[in-house]
Amino acid sequence: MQERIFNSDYTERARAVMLTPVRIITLVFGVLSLFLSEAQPAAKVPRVGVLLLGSGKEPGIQAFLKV
Amino acid sequence: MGYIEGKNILIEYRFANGKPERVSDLATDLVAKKVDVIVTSGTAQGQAIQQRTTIIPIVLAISGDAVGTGLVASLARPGGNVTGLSMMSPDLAGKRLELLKEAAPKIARVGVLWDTLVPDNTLDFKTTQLAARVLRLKLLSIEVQSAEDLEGALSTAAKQRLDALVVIGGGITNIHQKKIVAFEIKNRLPAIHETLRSAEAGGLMAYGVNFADLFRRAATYVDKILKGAKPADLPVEQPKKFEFIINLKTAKQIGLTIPPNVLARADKVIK
Repeated sequence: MQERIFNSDYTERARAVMLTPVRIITLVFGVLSLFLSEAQPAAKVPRVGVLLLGSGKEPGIQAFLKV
Repeated sequence: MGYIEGKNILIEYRFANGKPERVSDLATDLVAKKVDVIVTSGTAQGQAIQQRTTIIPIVLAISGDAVGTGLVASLARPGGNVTGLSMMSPDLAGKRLELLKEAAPKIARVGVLWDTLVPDNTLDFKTTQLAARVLRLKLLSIEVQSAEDLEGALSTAAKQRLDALVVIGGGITNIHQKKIVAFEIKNRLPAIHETLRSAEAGGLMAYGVNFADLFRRAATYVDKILKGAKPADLPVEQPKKFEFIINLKTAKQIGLTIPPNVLARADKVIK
């Protein structure tokens, strides 16, 4: 009886860790997305500071912004 | 260059609205934001930022004597975190006085209006002094440091019996160009400005570089820096093209006939 219970428990545990097709797909996608996020992080948007003595309405800065 | 503000580039603006005393605080604020690159115009503004960071790259869209004022080690290899464009103004100061003398040959006493807080203006003034000796003109220095100074300086200048005026660009003289131009017309003074916009605003003549061109070039520096270039290795560019503008409307207002040989040299004549 004891033996049977042990065997049943073992089978349950084996099933719990068994790699089913769904689990394999989940694992592969999980690892892939983690790898890609590390290898190619989201592009950082550069920040430019502009400091001018004037009001910003001068043609110089307007020309700069159009380039 | 493919940048769209708000999408693939963000711009933090800080404008002093003509108040030089605000520049220090704005520079501190911008440096604290840890932007990737700072664009500015004018030696004083460049120095204000450089005093606060030696790491963030600084692109000077307009500078005068960048080497003499210590902003860069040399034009070919700036060496630090500053690069950009020089308008080489000291070399042009003598040329301006020469053009003024050719346009109004009878002048003898010439006032030079300049903002002494703009670091490279001293060199401009000294070069103008040298040219005045060659042209046998008596030079009177009219110095300003703030908008409040300007009113007094102009009324003092009006009593000096000047024959003409040279306006060195930068700082107060750029910000209050309309007031200065009105003074010139009221006192019937032939004048030449460093800033091209001054002639468009009614100044008799202007000889210098096109600021819009310099700012457009500055954008290419920003692009290179964002793509990994080091400001220390980007040579400071000097303009190859200078523009001479004559405002004939103003000439008529002050009763001056510009000689044909001077008119022929103008890139633009405002009628």
